[in-house]
Amino acid sequence: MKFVVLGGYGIIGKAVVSDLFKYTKDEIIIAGRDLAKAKKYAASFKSSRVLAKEIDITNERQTVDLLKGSDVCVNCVQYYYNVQIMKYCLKAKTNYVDLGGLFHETKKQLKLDGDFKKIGKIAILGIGGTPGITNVMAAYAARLLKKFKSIDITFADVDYANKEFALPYSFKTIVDEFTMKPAVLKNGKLIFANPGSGEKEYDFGKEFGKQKGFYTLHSELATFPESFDKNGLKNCEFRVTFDQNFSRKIKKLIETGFTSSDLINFGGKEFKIIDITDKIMEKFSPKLGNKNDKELLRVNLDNKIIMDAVAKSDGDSSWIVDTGIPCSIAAQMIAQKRIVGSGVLAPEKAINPMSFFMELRRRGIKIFRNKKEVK
Amino acid sequence: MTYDFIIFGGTGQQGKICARDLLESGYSIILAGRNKEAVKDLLKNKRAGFIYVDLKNIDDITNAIKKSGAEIVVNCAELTYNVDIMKACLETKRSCTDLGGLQKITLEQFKLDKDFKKAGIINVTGCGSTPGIANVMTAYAVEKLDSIDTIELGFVWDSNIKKFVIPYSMHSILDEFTEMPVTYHNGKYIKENRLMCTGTFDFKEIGRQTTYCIVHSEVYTFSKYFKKKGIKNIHYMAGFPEHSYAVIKTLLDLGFNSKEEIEIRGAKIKPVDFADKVLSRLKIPKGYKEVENIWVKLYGKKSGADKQMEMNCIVKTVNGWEEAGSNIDTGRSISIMSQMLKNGSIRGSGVYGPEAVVPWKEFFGELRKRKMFIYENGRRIN
Repeated sequence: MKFVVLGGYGIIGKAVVSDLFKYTKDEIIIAGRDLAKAKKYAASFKSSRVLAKEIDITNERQTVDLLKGSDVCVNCVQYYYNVQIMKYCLKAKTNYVDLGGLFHETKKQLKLDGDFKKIGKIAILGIGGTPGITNVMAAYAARLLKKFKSIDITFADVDYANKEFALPYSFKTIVDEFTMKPAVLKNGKLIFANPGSGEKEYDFGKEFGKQKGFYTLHSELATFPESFDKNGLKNCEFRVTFDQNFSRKIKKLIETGFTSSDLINFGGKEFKIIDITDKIMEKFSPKLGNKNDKELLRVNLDNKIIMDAVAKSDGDSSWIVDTGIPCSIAAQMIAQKRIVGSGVLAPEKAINPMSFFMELRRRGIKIFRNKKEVK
Repeated sequence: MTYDFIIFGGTGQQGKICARDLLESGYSIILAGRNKEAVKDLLKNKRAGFIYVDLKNIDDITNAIKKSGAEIVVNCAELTYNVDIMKACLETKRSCTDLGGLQKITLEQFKLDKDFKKAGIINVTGCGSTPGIANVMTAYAVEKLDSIDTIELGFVWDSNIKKFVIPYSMHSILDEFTEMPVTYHNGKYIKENRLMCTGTFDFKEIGRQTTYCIVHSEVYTFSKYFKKKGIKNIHYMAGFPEHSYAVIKTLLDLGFNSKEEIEIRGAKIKPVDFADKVLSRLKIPKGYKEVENIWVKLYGKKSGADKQMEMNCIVKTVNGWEEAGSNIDTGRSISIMSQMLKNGSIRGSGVYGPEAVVPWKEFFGELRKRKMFIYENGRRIN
């Protein structure tokens, strides 16, 4: 069998490749624009089954040729290219997985369902940590509850190394979360709320403490309303949580114009304001190899079933662990025919929760139902 | 054409306020700076001119002064240029005013005292609100005491709309909060731990506000001029309303005050310059009004008994000057003092703080005309 990992030398891509290498005996192709980076990472495995390929994903013929003959295309590049890459998979007749499309891109991707059905292949959208593990946990709880009205999704990070101020993931993504209009399902209707609204305090228990959350745009909202309609779902909310001090600072930067995309002139050159701010904020970036952080993903159905996933650092930061690993697991499950069917599917529809949880557990990511570990 | 005044930093916030005040007082001015576009409204006045000057080049400064024919040099530029502008004044034998040099640069400026005396010209340093009005108020009060033990002073301000507006030069603000504050304590200068040096007090027209020790030039000049009155302690404390301080604190915590260049696409950018540029884009909200209180508390003795005095200068947004907010107390003060220098009310040669050379009566009178009111122990005196 053969996996092609687009962006396989990026932060998440690396974690995916490493998991594929560890848990399969198959061929893995690390593909991307930067051949040197791809080669360097491939060489680190000292194995003939890991190969590097230079690829420009805006070049259709080149990408389709590369994908032909592979079992699964694992898309770990910026989500703006998701639809494009899925179209290449259709031509190459390859299965597909990705890390999510931040709602709007996901909606466009779902429209390719008929095309994937026609070729008998499967595409799973958003199978990282969140979206991803959260979707599968929701599916698991839904089977137990059968009827429920609400799903509340959130996550929390704790970084013991950097209590002062640290970015849990990319600064630009955090800014998007604070500024894009979040989708919320209210009384059966999908609405777009004000950025930063919907404040709520969560108590995550001893390890993660109390954290304040607010609505953010997320892919779960693109599929849950339809996936759980038959269960009676009327309300669904996604919140991102940060400690208050952190939020206050990010909000101040936004309010005072430091995250604007406007151009500013320095020494005769034009720069986007956010690019310079991003550069200044680089020193707070998540550190690879940080061994002190943990991430918790939570899905709460009607306050009756609370599902938690807890990931710890394995040398990589926990958010890299719980994003890369599930994506690799899904790709393997497709290749091994442990996921059957065809079309473009959300994880809650495609994946069998128990075998997925078992795979997560083998890799140190634990799933809890009402605080009891699911085994 | 020969001008009455040349204004360096003439295209900046304070320079523009000063220029308008001088024009409205009937004088002719030439604005020296780099951004002509920023002063196009002022240049509609026939008595106003513009000259391109790069302050990094001292010959440029000297040539501009010569060309202008101006008798008085007004320096409203960033304080890092104070010494070079003073040197150009020595070269051209022109007296000058400036907005102060915090601690370090003020000390450098006073080193030129002998040269200024020799040249028969004067530099009055710190001619804005604080340093500036604060110094003249203090001199006024000190005169009424036999001896003086402690002076606490500073500024507090607030606005009706709680939105961030640049209060004054971002470079200065970030510097003031980056350098450890220096206070005069028992006759010695000491570096304070900022976190330990704060206090929350009630202020006239402002209410309760937290103030922080910061580096300021008054600590140095007061210890010099009031030594003979026995001064032992001087504390300078700045207060910002919460909505403004939260932004300043965020920028400090995240390193936007840094002068260490970052590299992006081949360009080198100082975070502090970037922060200044980004914040300058913020528009002043409609109906935005400020109130500032420049305050001095003095603890001393009069006729053998303990005596406490409090001086306040209250400045509010004035109709027709809305864009300037309470910054009129800086830009218009330096205009007043520069005029007093030109008309001979301020005399002498050497380098001085305003508390040593500015006659208070005339100065307070000019402030009153501009709706800036001085209070002595709560009673208005101008």
